[in-house]
Amino acid sequence: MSAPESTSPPIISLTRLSKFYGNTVGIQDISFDVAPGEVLGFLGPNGAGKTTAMRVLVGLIHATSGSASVLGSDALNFDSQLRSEIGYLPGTLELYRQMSGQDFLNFLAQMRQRDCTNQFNSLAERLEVDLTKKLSDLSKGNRQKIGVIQAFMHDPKVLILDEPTSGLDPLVQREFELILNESRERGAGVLLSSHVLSEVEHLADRVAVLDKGKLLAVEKISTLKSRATRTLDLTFIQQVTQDVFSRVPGVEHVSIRGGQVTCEVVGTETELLKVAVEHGVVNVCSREVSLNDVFISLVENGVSQ
Amino acid sequence: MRFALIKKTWMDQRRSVLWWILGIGILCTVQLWVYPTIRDSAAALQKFLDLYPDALKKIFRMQDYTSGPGYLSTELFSLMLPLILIAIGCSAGARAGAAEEEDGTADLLLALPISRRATLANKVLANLVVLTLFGLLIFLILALGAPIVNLPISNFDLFAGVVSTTLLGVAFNSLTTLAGATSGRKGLALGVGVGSALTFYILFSLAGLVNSFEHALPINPFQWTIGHAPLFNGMDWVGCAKLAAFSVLCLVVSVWGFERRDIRT
Repeated sequence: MSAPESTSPPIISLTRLSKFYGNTVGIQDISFDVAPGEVLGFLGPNGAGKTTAMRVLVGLIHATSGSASVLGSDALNFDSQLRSEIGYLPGTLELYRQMSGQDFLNFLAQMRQRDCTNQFNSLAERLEVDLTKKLSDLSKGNRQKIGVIQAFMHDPKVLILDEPTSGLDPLVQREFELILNESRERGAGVLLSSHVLSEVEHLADRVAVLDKGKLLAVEKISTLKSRATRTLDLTFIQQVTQDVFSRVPGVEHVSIRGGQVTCEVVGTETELLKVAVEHGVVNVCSREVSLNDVFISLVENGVSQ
Repeated sequence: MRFALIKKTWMDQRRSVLWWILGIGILCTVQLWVYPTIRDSAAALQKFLDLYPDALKKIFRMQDYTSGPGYLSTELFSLMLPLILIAIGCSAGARAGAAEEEDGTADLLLALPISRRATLANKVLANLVVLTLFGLLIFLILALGAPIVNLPISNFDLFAGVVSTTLLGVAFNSLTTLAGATSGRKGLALGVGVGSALTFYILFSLAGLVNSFEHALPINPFQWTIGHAPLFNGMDWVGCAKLAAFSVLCLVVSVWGFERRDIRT
Protein backbone atom coordinates (compact mmCIF):
# COMPACT_ATOMS: atom_id res chain seq x y z
CA MET A 1 0.00 0.00 0.00
CA SER A 2 1.61 3.22 -1.03
CA ALA A 3 0.86 6.82 -0.25
CA PRO A 4 -0.98 8.59 -3.00
CA GLU A 5 1.35 10.95 -4.80
CA SER A 6 -1.35 13.56 -4.96
CA THR A 7 -0.90 17.15 -5.92
CA SER A 8 -4.42 18.13 -4.82
CA PRO A 9 -4.64 20.32 -1.74
CA PRO A 10 -4.57 18.37 1.51
CA ILE A 11 -7.81 17.38 3.22
CA ILE A 12 -6.31 18.01 6.64
CA SER A 13 -3.29 20.19 7.27
CA LEU A 14 -1.69 20.92 10.63
CA THR A 15 1.07 23.49 10.99
CA ARG A 16 2.97 23.74 14.26
CA LEU A 17 -0.22 23.02 16.11
CA SER A 18 0.10 23.16 19.91
CA LYS A 19 -2.25 22.68 22.79
CA PHE A 20 -1.22 23.26 26.38
CA TYR A 21 -3.33 22.58 29.45
CA GLY A 22 -1.81 25.13 31.78
CA ASN A 23 1.82 24.05 31.86
CA THR A 24 1.07 20.54 30.69
CA VAL A 25 1.77 19.74 27.06
CA GLY A 26 -1.15 18.24 25.14
CA ILE A 27 0.54 18.50 21.75
CA GLN A 28 3.47 20.65 20.69
CA ASP A 29 4.36 21.91 17.22
CA ILE A 30 2.58 19.14 15.35
CA SER A 31 2.69 19.46 11.56
CA PHE A 32 1.41 17.04 8.96
CA ASP A 33 -0.96 16.80 5.99
CA VAL A 34 -3.52 14.20 5.01
CA ALA A 35 -4.05 14.01 1.24
CA PRO A 36 -7.32 13.14 -0.51
CA GLY A 37 -7.73 9.39 -0.54
CA GLU A 38 -5.07 8.91 2.09
CA VAL A 39 -5.31 7.15 5.44
CA LEU A 40 -2.84 8.56 7.93
CA GLY A 41 -2.29 6.28 10.89
CA PHE A 42 -1.88 8.13 14.13
CA LEU A 43 0.29 6.21 16.55
CA GLY A 44 1.55 6.85 20.03
CA PRO A 45 1.41 5.52 23.57
CA ASN A 46 -1.51 6.44 25.82
CA GLY A 47 -1.44 10.14 26.60
CA ALA A 48 0.80 10.93 23.60
CA GLY A 49 -1.65 13.59 22.37
CA LYS A 50 -3.48 11.76 19.56
CA THR A 51 -6.93 12.42 21.00
CA THR A 52 -6.00 16.03 21.78
CA ALA A 53 -5.05 16.70 18.15
CA MET A 54 -8.25 15.07 16.90
CA ARG A 55 -10.45 17.01 19.34
CA VAL A 56 -8.83 20.27 18.23
CA LEU A 57 -9.71 19.43 14.62
CA VAL A 58 -13.41 18.90 15.37
CA GLY A 59 -13.66 22.02 17.51
CA LEU A 60 -14.05 20.45 20.94
CA ILE A 61 -10.97 22.14 22.36
CA HIS A 62 -9.10 25.30 21.43
CA ALA A 63 -5.55 25.17 20.12
CA THR A 64 -2.98 27.24 22.00
CA SER A 65 -0.98 28.11 18.88
CA GLY A 66 -0.32 27.01 15.33
CA SER A 67 -2.84 26.48 12.60
CA ALA A 68 -4.99 23.72 11.20
CA SER A 69 -7.12 23.54 8.11
CA VAL A 70 -9.73 21.08 6.98
CA LEU A 71 -10.74 21.10 3.30
CA GLY A 72 -8.82 24.33 2.92
CA SER A 73 -10.79 26.20 5.62
CA ASP A 74 -9.45 27.27 8.98
CA ALA A 75 -10.40 24.48 11.37
CA LEU A 76 -9.62 26.52 14.47
CA ASN A 77 -12.37 29.11 14.17
CA PHE A 78 -15.07 26.60 15.11
CA ASP A 79 -16.97 26.90 11.83
CA SER A 80 -19.86 24.56 12.44
CA GLN A 81 -20.65 24.19 8.72
CA LEU A 82 -17.19 22.74 8.14
CA ARG A 83 -18.16 19.91 10.45
CA SER A 84 -20.89 18.79 8.04
CA GLU A 85 -18.05 17.32 5.95
CA ILE A 86 -16.41 15.58 8.90
CA GLY A 87 -17.18 12.15 10.24
CA TYR A 88 -15.84 11.90 13.78
CA LEU A 89 -15.63 8.89 16.03
CA PRO A 90 -14.54 9.83 19.56
CA GLY A 91 -12.07 7.64 21.42
CA THR A 92 -14.31 7.47 24.46
CA LEU A 93 -17.63 6.75 22.84
CA GLU A 94 -20.74 7.55 24.85
CA LEU A 95 -24.15 7.29 23.21
CA TYR A 96 -27.66 8.29 24.26
CA ARG A 97 -28.28 4.96 25.88
CA GLN A 98 -32.00 5.39 26.34
CA MET A 99 -32.48 5.61 22.56
CA SER A 100 -32.59 2.73 20.08
CA GLY A 101 -29.85 2.59 17.44
CA GLN A 102 -32.35 3.74 14.82
CA ASP A 103 -33.56 6.71 16.90
CA PHE A 104 -30.00 7.70 17.75
CA LEU A 105 -28.82 7.66 14.13
CA ASN A 106 -31.98 9.46 13.04
CA PHE A 107 -31.34 12.11 15.69
CA LEU A 108 -27.80 12.66 14.43
CA ALA A 109 -29.00 12.76 10.81
CA GLN A 110 -31.64 15.36 11.71
CA MET A 111 -28.98 17.40 13.49
CA ARG A 112 -26.98 17.22 10.27
CA GLN A 113 -30.15 18.17 8.38
CA ARG A 114 -29.62 15.19 6.10
CA ASP A 115 -31.56 12.04 5.41
CA CYS A 116 -29.08 9.25 6.04
CA THR A 117 -31.61 6.43 6.51
CA ASN A 118 -30.48 4.37 3.53
CA GLN A 119 -26.81 4.75 4.38
CA PHE A 120 -27.13 3.85 8.04
CA ASN A 121 -29.41 0.89 7.35
CA SER A 122 -26.96 -0.44 4.79
CA LEU A 123 -23.97 0.08 7.12
CA ALA A 124 -25.88 -1.60 9.98
CA GLU A 125 -26.54 -4.58 7.75
CA ARG A 126 -22.89 -4.85 6.75
CA LEU A 127 -21.65 -4.53 10.33
CA GLU A 128 -24.44 -6.81 11.58
CA VAL A 129 -25.89 -4.64 14.30
CA ASP A 130 -29.53 -4.56 15.34
CA LEU A 131 -30.77 -0.95 15.20
CA THR A 132 -34.07 -1.70 16.92
CA LYS A 133 -32.40 -2.48 20.25
CA LYS A 134 -31.95 0.13 22.93
CA LEU A 135 -28.34 1.28 23.00
CA SER A 136 -28.08 0.42 26.69
CA ASP A 137 -28.84 -3.20 25.79
CA LEU A 138 -26.03 -3.45 23.23
CA SER A 139 -22.60 -4.90 23.98
CA LYS A 140 -19.54 -2.63 23.88
CA GLY A 141 -18.60 -3.97 20.44
CA ASN A 142 -22.07 -3.32 19.05
CA ARG A 143 -22.11 0.20 20.48
CA GLN A 144 -18.77 0.77 18.76
CA LYS A 145 -20.40 -0.35 15.50
CA ILE A 146 -23.06 2.35 16.01
CA GLY A 147 -20.21 4.83 16.52
CA VAL A 148 -18.61 3.71 13.25
CA ILE A 149 -21.94 3.96 11.42
CA GLN A 150 -22.59 7.53 12.58
CA ALA A 151 -19.12 8.57 11.44
CA PHE A 152 -19.61 7.19 7.91
CA MET A 153 -23.35 7.58 7.29
CA HIS A 154 -23.22 11.03 5.69
CA ASP A 155 -20.38 10.12 3.26
CA PRO A 156 -17.99 12.65 4.77
CA LYS A 157 -14.96 13.99 2.93
CA VAL A 158 -12.97 13.96 6.15
CA LEU A 159 -12.84 11.11 8.64
CA ILE A 160 -11.33 11.57 12.07
CA LEU A 161 -11.46 8.21 13.79
CA ASP A 162 -10.09 7.74 17.28
CA GLU A 163 -9.45 4.04 17.90
CA PRO A 164 -12.26 3.01 15.53
CA THR A 165 -11.83 -0.75 15.78
CA SER A 166 -11.62 -0.89 19.55
CA GLY A 167 -13.89 -3.71 20.68
CA LEU A 168 -14.71 -4.97 17.17
CA ASP A 169 -14.22 -8.64 16.40
CA PRO A 170 -11.90 -9.63 13.48
CA LEU A 171 -14.73 -10.27 11.00
CA VAL A 172 -16.26 -6.87 11.66
CA GLN A 173 -12.80 -5.30 11.47
CA ARG A 174 -12.51 -6.75 7.99
CA GLU A 175 -15.84 -5.15 7.00
CA PHE A 176 -14.72 -1.88 8.59
CA GLU A 177 -11.63 -2.00 6.41
CA LEU A 178 -13.80 -2.37 3.30
CA ILE A 179 -16.00 0.54 4.35
CA LEU A 180 -12.90 2.64 5.00
CA ASN A 181 -11.49 1.76 1.60
CA GLU A 182 -14.72 2.82 -0.10
CA SER A 183 -14.41 6.23 1.58
CA ARG A 184 -10.81 6.44 0.55
CA GLU A 185 -11.75 5.66 -3.04
CA ARG A 186 -14.29 8.49 -2.92
CA GLY A 187 -11.33 10.75 -2.12
CA ALA A 188 -11.91 11.15 1.60
CA GLY A 189 -8.92 11.93 3.80
CA VAL A 190 -8.70 9.83 6.93
CA LEU A 191 -6.89 10.38 10.20
CA LEU A 192 -7.07 7.16 12.16
CA SER A 193 -5.56 6.48 15.54
CA SER A 194 -5.03 3.03 16.90
CA HIS A 195 -2.99 1.22 19.45
CA VAL A 196 -3.16 -1.96 17.36
CA LEU A 197 -0.06 -1.46 15.25
CA SER A 198 -0.68 -4.37 12.91
CA GLU A 199 -4.03 -2.81 12.08
CA VAL A 200 -2.49 0.56 11.24
CA GLU A 201 0.12 -1.20 9.16
CA HIS A 202 -2.70 -2.83 7.27
CA LEU A 203 -4.94 0.22 6.83
CA ALA A 204 -2.69 3.25 6.66
CA ASP A 205 -0.63 4.71 3.82
CA ARG A 206 1.58 6.64 6.18
CA VAL A 207 1.90 6.93 9.92
CA ALA A 208 2.46 9.85 12.24
CA VAL A 209 4.14 8.79 15.46
CA LEU A 210 3.51 10.91 18.52
CA ASP A 211 5.01 10.73 21.99
CA LYS A 212 4.56 13.10 24.92
CA GLY A 213 2.82 15.56 22.61
CA LYS A 214 5.64 15.71 20.09
CA LEU A 215 5.73 14.32 16.59
CA LEU A 216 8.54 11.79 16.19
CA ALA A 217 7.98 10.86 12.57
CA VAL A 218 5.57 11.12 9.65
CA GLU A 219 6.59 8.55 7.11
CA LYS A 220 5.49 5.81 4.81
CA ILE A 221 5.51 2.59 6.77
CA SER A 222 8.11 1.07 4.42
CA THR A 223 10.45 4.05 4.95
CA LEU A 224 10.09 3.82 8.69
CA LYS A 225 10.81 0.13 8.58
CA SER A 226 13.91 0.63 6.48
CA ARG A 227 15.20 3.04 9.12
CA ALA A 228 14.55 0.63 11.92
CA THR A 229 17.02 -1.85 13.35
CA ARG A 230 16.73 -5.16 11.49
CA THR A 231 18.07 -8.53 12.50
CA LEU A 232 19.95 -10.79 10.06
CA ASP A 233 20.84 -14.40 10.80
CA LEU A 234 23.92 -15.53 8.81
CA THR A 235 25.12 -19.12 8.61
CA PHE A 236 28.76 -19.97 7.82
CA ILE A 237 30.43 -23.36 7.34
CA GLN A 238 33.64 -22.23 8.98
CA GLN A 239 34.16 -20.29 12.23
CA VAL A 240 34.17 -16.50 11.92
CA THR A 241 35.28 -13.85 14.41
CA GLN A 242 33.08 -11.15 15.88
CA ASP A 243 35.24 -8.15 14.89
CA VAL A 244 34.87 -9.02 11.19
CA PHE A 245 31.20 -7.96 11.46
CA SER A 246 31.25 -5.37 14.23
CA ARG A 247 33.47 -3.14 12.06
CA VAL A 248 30.92 -3.11 9.20
CA PRO A 249 29.07 0.25 8.89
CA GLY A 250 25.49 0.04 10.13
CA VAL A 251 26.01 -3.05 12.25
CA GLU A 252 25.07 -2.28 15.85
CA HIS A 253 25.27 -5.62 17.58
CA VAL A 254 26.79 -8.99 16.73
CA SER A 255 26.46 -12.31 18.47
CA ILE A 256 28.20 -15.52 17.38
CA ARG A 257 27.51 -19.14 18.21
CA GLY A 258 29.67 -21.44 16.17
CA GLY A 259 28.98 -20.72 12.51
CA GLN A 260 25.76 -18.92 13.37
CA VAL A 261 26.06 -15.10 13.38
CA THR A 262 23.24 -12.73 14.33
CA CYS A 263 23.66 -9.07 13.40
CA GLU A 264 21.47 -6.10 14.18
CA VAL A 265 21.80 -3.58 11.42
CA VAL A 266 20.49 -0.09 10.76
CA GLY A 267 20.29 1.37 7.25
CA THR A 268 21.65 -0.47 4.23
CA GLU A 269 22.59 -4.16 4.51
CA THR A 270 24.85 -4.09 1.43
CA GLU A 271 28.18 -3.78 3.27
CA LEU A 272 27.30 -6.50 5.70
CA LEU A 273 26.27 -8.87 2.91
CA LYS A 274 29.52 -8.18 1.02
CA VAL A 275 31.56 -9.11 4.07
CA ALA A 276 29.39 -12.16 4.65
CA VAL A 277 29.92 -13.37 1.07
CA GLU A 278 33.69 -12.84 1.38
CA HIS A 279 33.64 -15.15 4.43
CA GLY A 280 31.65 -17.86 2.66
CA VAL A 281 28.13 -17.34 3.99
CA VAL A 282 25.81 -20.24 3.06
CA ASN A 283 22.49 -18.91 4.32
CA VAL A 284 21.06 -15.46 5.04
CA CYS A 285 17.81 -14.99 6.87
CA SER A 286 16.33 -11.51 7.45
CA ARG A 287 13.79 -11.33 10.24
CA GLU A 288 10.60 -9.42 9.40
CA VAL A 289 10.55 -5.95 10.99
CA SER A 290 7.20 -5.21 12.53
CA LEU A 291 5.78 -1.75 12.94
CA ASN A 292 5.82 -2.61 16.59
CA ASP A 293 9.65 -2.73 16.55
CA VAL A 294 9.77 0.57 14.67
CA PHE A 295 7.34 2.15 17.07
CA ILE A 296 9.20 1.00 20.16
CA SER A 297 12.52 2.10 18.75
CA LEU A 298 11.09 5.52 17.84
CA VAL A 299 9.50 6.11 21.21
CA GLU A 300 12.49 4.81 23.16
CA ASN A 301 15.06 6.72 21.16
CA GLY A 302 12.87 9.75 20.51
CA VAL A 303 14.13 9.90 16.94
CA SER A 304 12.98 13.13 15.38
CA GLN A 305 11.67 13.26 11.87
CA MET B 1 -33.51 25.88 15.31
CA ARG B 2 -33.10 22.11 15.47
CA PHE B 3 -36.38 20.55 16.53
CA ALA B 4 -34.60 17.21 17.04
CA LEU B 5 -32.52 18.73 19.84
CA ILE B 6 -35.52 20.47 21.42
CA LYS B 7 -37.45 17.21 21.34
CA LYS B 8 -34.50 15.33 22.83
CA THR B 9 -34.24 17.89 25.65
CA TRP B 10 -37.91 17.30 26.43
CA MET B 11 -37.60 13.53 26.24
CA ASP B 12 -34.65 13.60 28.63
CA GLN B 13 -36.80 15.16 31.34
CA ARG B 14 -40.12 13.52 30.59
CA ARG B 15 -40.17 11.39 33.75
CA SER B 16 -39.38 14.21 36.15
CA VAL B 17 -41.86 16.47 34.32
CA LEU B 18 -44.64 13.94 34.81
CA TRP B 19 -43.89 13.71 38.54
CA TRP B 20 -43.84 17.50 38.86
CA ILE B 21 -47.20 17.75 37.05
CA LEU B 22 -48.63 15.26 39.53
CA GLY B 23 -47.10 17.09 42.50
CA ILE B 24 -48.27 20.53 41.39
CA GLY B 25 -51.73 19.16 40.61
CA ILE B 26 -52.08 17.61 44.06
CA LEU B 27 -50.65 20.65 45.87
CA CYS B 28 -52.89 23.20 44.14
CA THR B 29 -55.99 21.03 44.41
CA VAL B 30 -55.49 20.33 48.12
CA GLN B 31 -54.90 24.01 48.86
CA LEU B 32 -58.06 24.99 47.00
CA TRP B 33 -60.00 22.22 48.69
CA VAL B 34 -59.00 23.48 52.14
CA TYR B 35 -59.97 27.09 51.37
CA PRO B 36 -63.71 26.85 52.26
CA THR B 37 -62.79 25.67 55.75
CA ILE B 38 -60.43 28.62 56.19
CA ARG B 39 -62.98 31.09 54.86
CA ASP B 40 -65.80 29.72 57.04
CA SER B 41 -63.75 30.08 60.17
CA ALA B 42 -62.29 33.41 59.14
CA ALA B 43 -63.25 35.28 62.31
CA ALA B 44 -61.83 32.65 64.67
CA LEU B 45 -58.78 32.20 62.50
CA GLN B 46 -58.12 35.92 62.33
CA LYS B 47 -58.16 36.07 66.13
CA PHE B 48 -55.71 33.22 66.21
CA LEU B 49 -53.49 34.83 63.57
CA ASP B 50 -53.51 38.11 65.45
CA LEU B 51 -51.66 36.29 68.20
CA TYR B 52 -48.81 35.45 65.80
CA PRO B 53 -45.76 37.63 66.26
CA ASP B 54 -45.48 40.29 63.56
CA ALA B 55 -42.14 38.85 62.54
CA LEU B 56 -43.67 35.50 61.63
CA LYS B 57 -46.51 37.17 59.76
CA LYS B 58 -43.99 39.13 57.75
CA ILE B 59 -41.91 36.05 56.94
CA PHE B 60 -44.89 34.12 55.60
CA ARG B 61 -46.69 37.17 54.17
CA MET B 62 -49.79 36.40 56.19
CA GLN B 63 -51.49 39.72 55.75
CA ASP B 64 -55.17 39.27 54.99
CA TYR B 65 -54.78 35.50 55.17
CA THR B 66 -58.45 34.61 54.84
CA SER B 67 -59.07 36.59 51.65
CA GLY B 68 -58.68 34.80 48.31
CA PRO B 69 -55.43 36.53 47.24
CA GLY B 70 -54.11 36.47 50.81
CA TYR B 71 -54.72 32.75 51.15
CA LEU B 72 -53.12 31.88 47.80
CA SER B 73 -50.19 34.20 48.53
CA THR B 74 -49.43 32.63 51.87
CA GLU B 75 -50.06 29.02 50.94
CA LEU B 76 -48.74 28.85 47.41
CA PHE B 77 -47.09 31.95 46.00
CA SER B 78 -44.81 33.01 48.85
CA LEU B 79 -42.92 29.72 49.13
CA MET B 80 -44.21 26.49 47.61
CA LEU B 81 -44.74 27.45 43.97
CA PRO B 82 -41.57 29.58 43.74
CA LEU B 83 -39.53 26.72 45.18
CA ILE B 84 -41.12 24.17 42.84
CA LEU B 85 -40.52 26.30 39.75
CA ILE B 86 -36.98 27.03 40.93
CA ALA B 87 -36.37 23.29 41.43
CA ILE B 88 -37.68 22.49 37.96
CA GLY B 89 -35.70 25.39 36.48
CA CYS B 90 -32.46 24.49 38.23
CA SER B 91 -32.56 20.82 37.32
CA ALA B 92 -33.35 21.65 33.67
CA GLY B 93 -30.66 24.34 33.61
CA ALA B 94 -27.97 22.03 35.01
CA ARG B 95 -28.93 19.44 32.41
CA ALA B 96 -28.84 21.96 29.55
CA GLY B 97 -25.51 23.41 30.63
CA ALA B 98 -23.49 20.42 31.69
CA ALA B 99 -25.17 17.00 31.47
CA GLU B 100 -23.89 16.04 28.01
CA GLU B 101 -20.34 16.85 28.98
CA GLU B 102 -20.61 14.95 32.24
CA ASP B 103 -22.17 11.95 30.47
CA GLY B 104 -19.46 12.01 27.79
CA THR B 105 -21.96 12.50 24.94
CA ALA B 106 -20.81 16.09 24.28
CA ASP B 107 -17.98 14.82 22.06
CA LEU B 108 -20.51 13.53 19.55
CA LEU B 109 -23.07 16.31 19.90
CA LEU B 110 -20.65 19.23 19.69
CA ALA B 111 -18.78 17.74 16.72
CA LEU B 112 -21.98 17.99 14.67
CA PRO B 113 -22.47 20.84 12.19
CA ILE B 114 -24.26 23.08 14.67
CA SER B 115 -22.57 25.81 16.68
CA ARG B 116 -22.26 25.61 20.44
CA ARG B 117 -24.36 28.77 20.64
CA ALA B 118 -27.20 27.15 18.69
CA THR B 119 -26.89 23.92 20.68
CA LEU B 120 -27.28 25.75 23.97
CA ALA B 121 -29.99 28.05 22.58
CA ASN B 122 -32.11 25.08 21.48
CA LYS B 123 -31.83 23.47 24.89
CA VAL B 124 -32.65 26.73 26.67
CA LEU B 125 -35.64 27.23 24.39
CA ALA B 126 -36.89 23.73 25.22
CA ASN B 127 -36.59 24.47 28.94
CA LEU B 128 -38.36 27.82 28.63
CA VAL B 129 -41.27 26.07 26.95
CA VAL B 130 -41.40 23.52 29.79
CA LEU B 131 -41.39 26.25 32.47
CA THR B 132 -44.05 28.22 30.57
CA LEU B 133 -46.25 25.15 30.37
CA PHE B 134 -45.84 24.59 34.12
CA GLY B 135 -46.92 28.22 34.67
CA LEU B 136 -49.91 27.64 32.42
CA LEU B 137 -50.79 24.45 34.30
CA ILE B 138 -50.72 26.29 37.64
CA PHE B 139 -52.83 29.12 36.24
CA LEU B 140 -55.40 26.75 34.76
CA ILE B 141 -55.78 24.66 37.93
CA LEU B 142 -56.20 27.75 40.12
CA ALA B 143 -58.33 29.76 37.67
CA LEU B 144 -60.67 26.82 37.08
CA GLY B 145 -60.66 25.64 40.70
CA ALA B 146 -61.13 29.00 42.47
CA PRO B 147 -64.78 29.53 41.41
CA ILE B 148 -65.62 25.96 42.40
CA VAL B 149 -64.54 26.58 46.01
CA ASN B 150 -65.75 30.20 45.93
CA LEU B 151 -62.27 31.60 46.29
CA PRO B 152 -62.47 35.22 45.15
CA ILE B 153 -59.55 36.21 42.95
CA SER B 154 -59.33 38.11 39.70
CA ASN B 155 -57.97 36.05 36.86
CA PHE B 156 -55.75 38.95 35.88
CA ASP B 157 -54.14 39.10 39.34
CA LEU B 158 -53.76 35.34 39.37
CA PHE B 159 -52.15 35.52 35.94
CA ALA B 160 -49.82 38.26 37.20
CA GLY B 161 -48.76 36.08 40.14
CA VAL B 162 -48.16 33.07 37.89
CA VAL B 163 -46.15 35.12 35.38
CA SER B 164 -43.89 36.51 38.12
CA THR B 165 -43.39 33.08 39.70
CA THR B 166 -42.68 31.46 36.34
CA LEU B 167 -40.15 34.17 35.55
CA LEU B 168 -38.49 33.47 38.90
CA GLY B 169 -38.11 29.83 37.78
CA VAL B 170 -36.71 31.05 34.47
CA ALA B 171 -34.23 33.34 36.27
CA PHE B 172 -32.79 30.50 38.36
CA ASN B 173 -32.92 28.18 35.34
CA SER B 174 -30.76 30.70 33.50
CA LEU B 175 -28.37 31.08 36.42
CA THR B 176 -27.96 27.28 36.62
CA THR B 177 -27.48 27.08 32.86
CA LEU B 178 -24.76 29.71 33.21
CA ALA B 179 -22.99 27.76 35.96
CA GLY B 180 -23.27 24.51 33.98
CA ALA B 181 -22.24 25.89 30.60
CA THR B 182 -19.19 27.67 31.98
CA SER B 183 -18.02 24.82 34.23
CA GLY B 184 -19.23 21.67 32.48
CA ARG B 185 -20.16 20.30 35.90
CA LYS B 186 -23.75 19.41 36.65
CA GLY B 187 -23.36 19.12 40.41
CA LEU B 188 -21.67 22.47 40.65
CA ALA B 189 -24.38 24.04 38.49
CA LEU B 190 -27.14 22.63 40.68
CA GLY B 191 -25.27 23.81 43.78
CA VAL B 192 -24.99 27.34 42.44
CA GLY B 193 -28.66 27.45 41.34
CA VAL B 194 -30.26 25.91 44.41
CA GLY B 195 -27.77 27.46 46.85
CA SER B 196 -28.28 30.97 45.55
CA ALA B 197 -32.07 30.51 45.48
CA LEU B 198 -32.09 29.48 49.14
CA THR B 199 -29.76 32.33 50.08
CA PHE B 200 -31.92 34.89 48.26
CA TYR B 201 -35.04 33.42 49.86
CA ILE B 202 -33.62 33.64 53.37
CA LEU B 203 -32.47 37.22 52.75
CA PHE B 204 -35.90 38.07 51.36
CA SER B 205 -37.96 36.43 54.08
CA LEU B 206 -35.91 37.96 56.90
CA ALA B 207 -35.72 41.39 55.26
CA GLY B 208 -38.60 42.67 57.38
CA LEU B 209 -36.67 41.81 60.50
CA VAL B 210 -33.07 42.59 59.64
CA ASN B 211 -32.28 46.07 58.36
CA SER B 212 -29.21 45.14 56.36
CA PHE B 213 -31.20 42.43 54.53
CA GLU B 214 -33.81 45.03 53.67
CA HIS B 215 -31.18 47.14 51.92
CA ALA B 216 -30.40 44.16 49.67
CA LEU B 217 -34.03 43.75 48.58
CA PRO B 218 -33.68 45.74 45.33
CA ILE B 219 -31.25 43.12 44.01
CA ASN B 220 -33.20 40.12 45.26
CA PRO B 221 -35.12 38.09 42.62
CA PHE B 222 -37.72 37.13 45.23
CA GLN B 223 -38.43 40.83 45.77
CA TRP B 224 -38.87 41.23 42.00
CA THR B 225 -41.32 38.30 42.08
CA ILE B 226 -43.47 38.69 45.18
CA GLY B 227 -42.29 41.98 46.69
CA HIS B 228 -45.15 43.86 45.11
CA ALA B 229 -47.75 41.21 45.86
CA PRO B 230 -49.06 40.64 42.32
CA LEU B 231 -52.03 38.63 43.60
CA PHE B 232 -53.29 41.83 45.24
CA ASN B 233 -51.88 44.47 42.93
CA GLY B 234 -51.77 42.88 39.49
CA MET B 235 -48.86 42.70 37.12
CA ASP B 236 -45.54 43.95 38.47
CA TRP B 237 -44.07 45.04 35.15
CA VAL B 238 -40.85 46.36 36.66
CA GLY B 239 -40.25 43.19 38.67
CA CYS B 240 -40.96 41.03 35.62
CA ALA B 241 -38.62 43.14 33.49
CA LYS B 242 -35.86 42.73 36.09
CA LEU B 243 -36.36 38.95 36.16
CA ALA B 244 -36.32 38.82 32.36
CA ALA B 245 -33.23 41.04 32.14
CA PHE B 246 -31.42 38.92 34.75
CA SER B 247 -32.27 35.77 32.75
CA VAL B 248 -31.12 37.26 29.45
CA LEU B 249 -27.86 38.40 31.04
CA CYS B 250 -27.22 34.93 32.48
CA LEU B 251 -27.95 33.28 29.12
CA VAL B 252 -25.72 35.67 27.18
CA VAL B 253 -22.84 34.97 29.58
CA SER B 254 -23.62 31.22 29.34
CA VAL B 255 -23.16 31.27 25.57
CA TRP B 256 -20.06 33.44 25.85
CA GLY B 257 -18.47 31.07 28.36
CA PHE B 258 -19.59 27.89 26.60
CA GLU B 259 -18.12 28.97 23.26
CA ARG B 260 -14.75 29.76 24.76
CA ARG B 261 -14.29 26.66 26.85
CA ASP B 262 -12.57 23.36 26.19
CA ILE B 263 -14.96 20.44 26.41
CA ARG B 264 -13.80 17.80 28.88
CA THR B 265 -13.62 14.14 27.86
